[in-house]
Formats: sequence, structure tokens, C-alpha cells
Amino acid sequence: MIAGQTVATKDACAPSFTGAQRTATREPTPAYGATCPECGGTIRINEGDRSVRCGYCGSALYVVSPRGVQSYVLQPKVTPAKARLASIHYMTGHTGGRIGAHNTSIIDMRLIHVPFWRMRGRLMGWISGDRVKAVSVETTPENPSASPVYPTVRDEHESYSRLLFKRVDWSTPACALPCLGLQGISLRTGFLEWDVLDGARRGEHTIALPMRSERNVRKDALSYLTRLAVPAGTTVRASRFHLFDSTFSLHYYPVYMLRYGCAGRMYTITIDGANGAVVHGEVPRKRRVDAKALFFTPAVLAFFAATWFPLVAIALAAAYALDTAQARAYLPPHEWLALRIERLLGGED
Amino acid sequence: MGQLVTFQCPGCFRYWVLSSEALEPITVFRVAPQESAREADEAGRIHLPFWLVEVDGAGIKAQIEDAVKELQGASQAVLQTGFAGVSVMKLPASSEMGFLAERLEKLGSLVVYVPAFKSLNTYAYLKVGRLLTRIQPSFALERSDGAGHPILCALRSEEAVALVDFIFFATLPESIQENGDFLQRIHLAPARPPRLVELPFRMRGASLVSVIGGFWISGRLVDGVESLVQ
Repeated sequence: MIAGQTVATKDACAPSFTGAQRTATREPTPAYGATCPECGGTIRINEGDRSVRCGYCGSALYVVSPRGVQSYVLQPKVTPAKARLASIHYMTGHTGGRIGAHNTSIIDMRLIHVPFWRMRGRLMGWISGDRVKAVSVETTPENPSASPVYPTVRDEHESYSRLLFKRVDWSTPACALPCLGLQGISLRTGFLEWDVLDGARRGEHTIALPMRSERNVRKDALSYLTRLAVPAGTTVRASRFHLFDSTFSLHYYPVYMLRYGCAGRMYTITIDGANGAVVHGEVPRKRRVDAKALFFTPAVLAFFAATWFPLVAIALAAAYALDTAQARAYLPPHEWLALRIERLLGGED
Repeated sequence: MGQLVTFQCPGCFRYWVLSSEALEPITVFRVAPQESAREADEAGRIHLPFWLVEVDGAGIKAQIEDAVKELQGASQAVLQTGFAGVSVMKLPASSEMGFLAERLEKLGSLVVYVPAFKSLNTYAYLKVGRLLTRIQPSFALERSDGAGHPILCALRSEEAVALVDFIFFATLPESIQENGDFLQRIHLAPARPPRLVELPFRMRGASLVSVIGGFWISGRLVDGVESLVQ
């Protein structure tokens, strides 16, 4: 927006929400209606808009906060049929051909737009600390009769400081959907064509609602970036960071969520709506015979059951022989056994 | 990222700044060229925006002295108690501290130059800011009439104030920069509200030469310079 056109002041440009209330009955979208302070014409302000031009008089108007967050949506490049095919390929591939389309039933498939926060800004920081370096040194022993010198490894602390100033382009899931298996999306590349998601188009998509606030995302970003700034093998004594010039936007990424049933159980497969890759998938596990549970454990138990009496006799014979050798005197076995039992039950020596 | 926060009216050349609530007029200053060189000099000049944040030199000196005293005290205490495993706080070299404090006292007030132009290479900010803050050039200011080729500001004044510490740290010798215990006790507070000043640069080949600083930077560091030259 260029100053020199009509610049609306705070009072003049404050949107009158009466218009929004009127339009809300006809079209339930989050866009706000306002009247132009110059000509009184109706203008439409979408979420995230910073400036708007009046369609009647051409005045450039500045939107008073809160403006909301600009949202973008990516149209799916993969058709539902292709997503279905990809999931069947996945099932077949991951079960070695045991499970295919013929023995599963696809219950439903939905296209969901999953929200991601994108933060762009600049980070300035200063870190100071110690770099620990292992150094091999030759040490002279205190005892002169010992070998003259011997090598030892010692930690040497070397001070360092680092000033950094970098551009930041960071994204993180805006909602917790572990079953979808999405960790993050690459937003830096210009390969993906994002469309602005305005109020009018919001109803066209099934979107998951963001559950993390802008404030929390900023905190997470700062903690992640500061961790990343610390060089490996160093300890930090003092640091200072400042994240500034940051802008936040929400990016809705298309994902197909397919649920299917097999042998009475439900499984989920998530397919990337942009490239058709399977992001996350569950397949029925093959039933395996557990050799340990089926053979080894019963075999060991059976062995002890059959041999417990001879084992006890062997143990007693060994103890008798040991005691006789230690005492250097012969005692008949029955007397030795009686003495042992008496000691065991707390009798006097 | 790096959105413009000042705008210039193409009709009257007045500047406007995007505050949190509205567009407000802002006074931008410019380095006054010497009378003899005014006409010849103005033609090829490119004006880059900087926030000039004035910090009281005596205040920084006092902070430095307090920090040194505090560190000396803490180190003494640790040595006396003789705790094993406790690292003694590092003390900056007294000669360097003395030189720094003396320089700040001589200056009276330190002007920290915070670059405010849009740049793809963010390290350029630190580099240009450090060079100008080290040099502390002296010049007369006049109110900018917006003529010539001004590059618009992409940094808010509050943000500029927040960056002052980092630019000041960058001007210090490496031995002081490495002393984290000392530097974390230093916080520069502006003595007066920051001023937006357009500093003159001249295009020489692919480089931008600072008229007042004498140093040069790559022209590619500043967004929008190529279009002005063409």
C-alpha cells in the first residue's frame, strides 16, 4: 500500500461488523464486511489481509488489528482412485501378497487438509562457551623408579564465541495427529503451488483445526533454533537470542485417510495428497508360531519335572562330601543329615 | 519475511511508517552533503536506511565496571571456599577493559547503527552495522526530502533496539566476545528514541561504497539496489 492514496486512520478504518452480521445469515464464512470510510461502499476483508482496496473508489485501506493469520491450501494432485490404488499396492507389498483388494473391505476414504504452522523471520544470536578438546600429554610419574613418562589424555577447554544472524523458515504440525504419520512439510521449495484459503473457500475443504497457538509455536521455534545454533562438542556459558520480523501462516496440506477392514479388525493408511506416497500405513500382521513359547519353555519345565529327585540327591551328596572333607572326620550320612536339618531349623551347634 | 515498514508517497515524498495500529507519518533524516559537493555528489547516491540508536557511553562504562567487580568478587569467593568442581568465572583482561571503558568515556555517547534495509543475506546486517558502529563517523543530519534513490526501511524501531546488544558485541575484540560471563551482564539501553537515517552509498561496479564510512559491501546484499541502478 502506498501512502498518498487515501490512508484510513484507526477510527475511520475500524471495520463495522454490522455488515458481517448481515452477511452471516446468507453465507457463513469468516470474512468480515466493512464499509469504506471514504465512499461508504461495502468492502470485504479476508482473514490475514493487511491492506485492502475499495472496489468502488479505489482507496487503499489499512486493516486495523486483529487481522488473523493468513491461510494457504494446497490442492490435491492425486485423485481418490489413485490414492486407493496406492493403498492397495501398499497392503499387498507389505504383506507379501497375502492381503489384497479381494480380502479387504475399504470402509471409507477421506481427503483431509492437515494444518501446519509456518514461521518466517530472522534470528540474531550470540553464544559464548567452551569447546572441549581431548589432548594427549606425556606425564612424568612421581615415583622415579617407575617408567620415565607415560601418555595420558586430558580435556582442554578453549573459549569460543559465535554471533549468528540467519533467516528462518520453519514449519511444524499445528495439530497432533499421530495416526497420520506427518512430521513436517518442506515449504521452502517453490514446487508446491499454495492457494490463499479465504473465507469463501473454507467450506470447500475438510480441514483439521489447528490446536497449537501462535505463541506456543514461536516458543518451540526459538527453543529448536537455539539448540541448533550450539556447535557440537561445546558447552554454553552464556547466550542471547532474539527472533524478530517473524510472520506466521497456516498451510493446509492434503492427505487421504483410508480405513479398511480385514479379518474383523480396522486398519488405517495415510496417503500424501500431493505426490501419492504412503505416509503411514497399518497392515495385518502375519501370525507366527512362537518356537520359544511352544517348544523351549515346556521342554525345560518337563526336564526339571523328570529330574528333580536325582538333582536333589546329587546336591546332598556333594554337600556331604564337602562337609566331610572340611571336618576331616567321618560321620554317617543319616547323622550328618539330622545335624544339617537341626542347624537349618535353628538348633544349637 | 522482511516486509517494508516504511512507505513513501510518490506525490509528496513524505514517509509513512506501519505501526501496530495504523500508518503514521515519520521523520526520516539524511546525511547532509557538503555545500561544495552537493550537486555533483547527489546524482549517483543510493540512500540506505539505518536506525541510529544512541547509548550513553558513561552508562556502558558503569555497567562494564560493575560486571568486572561482580566477576572478581564471585571468583574470589569461589577460590576462598575452594569448592571442587566449581569453575571460576572468567575475568576479562583488565587492559582491554580499560581501553574499552576509556574509549566509551571519550565518545560520550555511542551510536549503534542498526541496518534497516531489506536483504537476502542476513549476515550483511551484522557486517554493515558492525563496521559503522566501530567507525562512529561524524556527520550533520538534515530532514530527508525523499528525493534520489531511497531504499525503504524493513525493520521496526523496537526491533532495532532489541538488536543493539548484538551489534555492539560484534564490535568488541574476540577475547571479550568469548567472555560469556562478562558479556551477559551488559545490556545497552537507548538514551533517546532511535532515529531513522538514510546513509549515502555510491555504486562502484557491483559494490556499494559507503560515503561516510569508506568501506564497501557487495551490492547484492541489499534488495532493490539493482533496480535503482538500472
